[in-house]
Amino acid sequence: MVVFVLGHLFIMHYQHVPASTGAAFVGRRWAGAAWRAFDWVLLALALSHGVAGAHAVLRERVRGPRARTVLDGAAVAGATIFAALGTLAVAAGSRAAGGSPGPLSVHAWIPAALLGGLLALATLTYLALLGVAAAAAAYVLRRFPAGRWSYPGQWAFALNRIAGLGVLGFLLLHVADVAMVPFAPDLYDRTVAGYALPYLAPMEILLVTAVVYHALNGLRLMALEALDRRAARAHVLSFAVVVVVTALLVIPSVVVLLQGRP
Amino acid sequence: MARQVDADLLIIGGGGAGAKAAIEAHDLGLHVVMLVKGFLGRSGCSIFAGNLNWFGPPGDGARPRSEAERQKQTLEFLAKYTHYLGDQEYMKNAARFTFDHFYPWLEERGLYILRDDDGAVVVDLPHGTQAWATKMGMSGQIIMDMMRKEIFRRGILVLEETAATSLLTAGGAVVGAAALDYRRGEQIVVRAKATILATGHSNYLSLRSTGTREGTAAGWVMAFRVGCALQNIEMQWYHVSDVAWPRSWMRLHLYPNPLPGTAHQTRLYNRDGELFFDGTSVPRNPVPYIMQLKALVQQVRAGKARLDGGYYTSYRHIEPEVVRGHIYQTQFVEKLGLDPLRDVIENGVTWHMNVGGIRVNGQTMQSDVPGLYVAGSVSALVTGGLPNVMYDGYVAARHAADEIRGRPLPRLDQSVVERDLARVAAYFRTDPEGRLLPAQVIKRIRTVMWEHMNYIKSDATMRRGLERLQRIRQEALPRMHVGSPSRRFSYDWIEAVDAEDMLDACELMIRFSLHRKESRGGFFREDYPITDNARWLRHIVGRLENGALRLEELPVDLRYAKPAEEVADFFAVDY
Amino acid sequence: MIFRVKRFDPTCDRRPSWRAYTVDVRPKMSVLDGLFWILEHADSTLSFRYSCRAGMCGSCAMVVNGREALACRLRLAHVAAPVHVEPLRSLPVIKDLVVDMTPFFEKYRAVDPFYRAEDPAVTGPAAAPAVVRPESRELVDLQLGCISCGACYSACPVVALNPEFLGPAALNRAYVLSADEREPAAGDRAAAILGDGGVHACHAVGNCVAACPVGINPLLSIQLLRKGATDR
Repeated sequence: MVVFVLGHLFIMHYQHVPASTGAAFVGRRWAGAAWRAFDWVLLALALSHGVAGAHAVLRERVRGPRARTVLDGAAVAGATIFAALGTLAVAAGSRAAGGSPGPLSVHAWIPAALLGGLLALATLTYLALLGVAAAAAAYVLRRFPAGRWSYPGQWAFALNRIAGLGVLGFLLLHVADVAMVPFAPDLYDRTVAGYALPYLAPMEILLVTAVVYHALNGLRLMALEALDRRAARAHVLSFAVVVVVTALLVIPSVVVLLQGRP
Repeated sequence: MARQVDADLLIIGGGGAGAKAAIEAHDLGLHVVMLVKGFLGRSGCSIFAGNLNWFGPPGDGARPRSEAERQKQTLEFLAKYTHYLGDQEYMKNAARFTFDHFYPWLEERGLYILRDDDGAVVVDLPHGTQAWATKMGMSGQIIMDMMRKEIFRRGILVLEETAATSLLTAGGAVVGAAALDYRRGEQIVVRAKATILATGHSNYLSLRSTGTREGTAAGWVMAFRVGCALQNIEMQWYHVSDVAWPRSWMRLHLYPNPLPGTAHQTRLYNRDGELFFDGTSVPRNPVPYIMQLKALVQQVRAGKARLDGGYYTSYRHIEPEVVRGHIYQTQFVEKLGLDPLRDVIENGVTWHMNVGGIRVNGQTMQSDVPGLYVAGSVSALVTGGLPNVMYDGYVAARHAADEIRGRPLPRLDQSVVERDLARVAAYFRTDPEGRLLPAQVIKRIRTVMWEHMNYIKSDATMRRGLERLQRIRQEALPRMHVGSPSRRFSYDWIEAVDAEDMLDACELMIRFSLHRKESRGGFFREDYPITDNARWLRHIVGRLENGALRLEELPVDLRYAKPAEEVADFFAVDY
Repeated sequence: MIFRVKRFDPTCDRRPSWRAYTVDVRPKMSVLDGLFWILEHADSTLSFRYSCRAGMCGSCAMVVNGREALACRLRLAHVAAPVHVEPLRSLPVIKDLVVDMTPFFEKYRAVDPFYRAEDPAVTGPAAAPAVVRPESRELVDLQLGCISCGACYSACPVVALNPEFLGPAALNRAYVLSADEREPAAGDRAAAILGDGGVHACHAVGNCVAACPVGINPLLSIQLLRKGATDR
């Protein structure tokens, strides 16, 4: 999964700027069966990982067994809907090309809704990060210790969770917008053009950061488990390595983004 | 009105003796209730027990040849360990129990003891005094953790952070106890067919102590007040090589015994850097603690050390890999910011175990008062150690079970109950005149004991101490108040009760000490620096008669081991 | 040195508040020595637990400058001023720094923490090997010395987020038993280990490893239990 995700990320954010990848671009891709298979496998893996993550968070947040069953069911149902939507898009993908209108093009509210969703997600993410920054500031200033932030593991965990939830939110919006490629290519182009809003620029970098961090942190935990590390120091050091490598990997995408933006 | 709990058997104390008694009694079908002043298996000295003693005393580089010889050496060792005042028949039985029951029982319950391929326990040759077990050096903590789980799995009712405040009597017998649950701020009455008192050592009576805050002599005093005899309570045992500072570290003992698995022993240096004690220079010395004390007295008299510091333990003469392998002490020394390979560690004297305590029958653990059994270090049988105190608990539980089987619950004497509850309740007062906190009063008592009843003492210092204690009783006790109106987790309240108990215990201790006109082992008087076996190899026994202390001398059981000397220079004998 | 201590008496206070004390510090003092100083010189109404003063009994676990520690073992030279002292987290406060450990021990019980090898109800006789080699105990001994102080439980964010999570100490105990050659695989314990509050609820945060005052690595135990479950 890490391979697929990072591959996707590399193509979209290092070779290209998302705002420039219109329906024509996607259409060209989907002309070949290999890319369609790639995208479909990625979709399936990402959604199932998202469901697993949501399940874990629900376990912590919801106590009642019935509420749990309902919410778990809702998560699976939602994922199934999005999986169906994505599958449909990937299957139908090659039929459409260019910026021509499709059968759904009359529904102009769709791009507006998607863009609105993205703006909302961006706002939530910014607020969450502000919260983390406030915790960091409180810890540095030592006004009083708040939470468990003096443990590096706490940072690793919190960032992993924020990144995971953020990426899941984006994934759902992304599946919905890509699903327009076969059915309303013109609207898709309008949506993607909307991504160029300056307000969303940090979001784009954060998205890359989140995906890279979430993937590397996952690899780190797997490695720690496999290597049977006993020392507390191994956790701290490996977390530091993940942070540094994440930063190194994100910098080129920032450069690409800045160059690619008008 | 206080909550009342009924039980077949009440056990007061949650250390090794109480825990073993509770398990044994429960398995014999009794309904057991435990009163524990701190946490079960977590407060007493026993958790810090160093290595697994494998009696077996030091031999000449090989294990004793025969079982009989081993028994003989064990008894000689224990006799010297108690300065010949221990109950020898009891010690013989307790040593047997260590082999026959203690180790096998703990092994069945998960304690890992290293055995060779033939199944024989591996001991640390050449000395043969210690068995090798998991977490070498912290065996007490591991064993008490096991005991705690054994009690939890049986569902025995354990009232933690609940201190017994008095034994309740009716018709001349003990029928339960009054207690204070200071976590909730509630008084409790426990009614029981029999009671086992297992409150451990009473060594928190002086400023510098290895004891925990629970060791305020409540056990001695509660038993004394209902008519039990106390025996040899002047025989306080001191540690020389505990860390001098800070207060929270003085519990850390730098053992003078051979480091596990080696013949190496620590050395002591005085203020001027002169070596004054090397354990290996005393051949076959079974009790290096006592020899350290005797050596220190001479340094203090020469002005080259103080009792509270100015002398040092050193590991520097020992190979680095041996010191590092001796993880138990070195890890703590390193936490103090010292390197045991290069630095010396400043020491001070602390009050450690008590040789004396409540007088009991060493075969049944019965006290002089019907219905009351006494187990563990609170009794006068032996100084302590997990195998011995668990033997006490085991014996007490079995005899108590035999005694109370089929017997109905006793009736409480309501006037006694109300008097005892009122005494404790009266200490919860927020505003008497003068206002002194219980902790301040306790500190005054402990200061008096440190200054006047320390290892070096005489008739004059002790009489001065007695005067100062009497002044505290008259002037300070009535002015005690609790600092907060909240009854929740009020250490103040329980400490006010403790302060009264400590005053009683300290006065008794000084009166016993004034009576013994010699020096012996852990007991030293400047005015009588001889060990007088002819006159003073006697138990000093005191009990309450018509509201006053009556002291008498009783003979000592010397059937298996006796000292060679009639009268000897205190500094020359090795016990 | 300034101490700021979180005070709370649920019987009369609406919410916890910080109170500051200026403590007269001498070399080598521990946090516990600082609290003793407050008790003796500044405020006798402060409640905290302590007993052995040597890092063995686990009574004085608390949160110092945001990190769990045994007050008796933590030297003031190693903490930054002002020293913030709080009670353990995820446990109800009885008063000030004293918490109710009941939830911790209830969860501990849930893993069936009892050695069962000699329990005839669980195993037949002679199930244990005659001689257990010390080599087989390397990991068991490493993880054995838990003093149940609750530091790991307090440090764990998953315990805070997920009330069902049994927590590091309980699962560590489960591992110690499951890795003991003499101990049979007990059914109840396996169910707790693999249940909703078991090893799969852990997110490998690792705070427990950093918090343990006696050097145990509960996360390693949890991971080894997971591995054992997959191998089986």
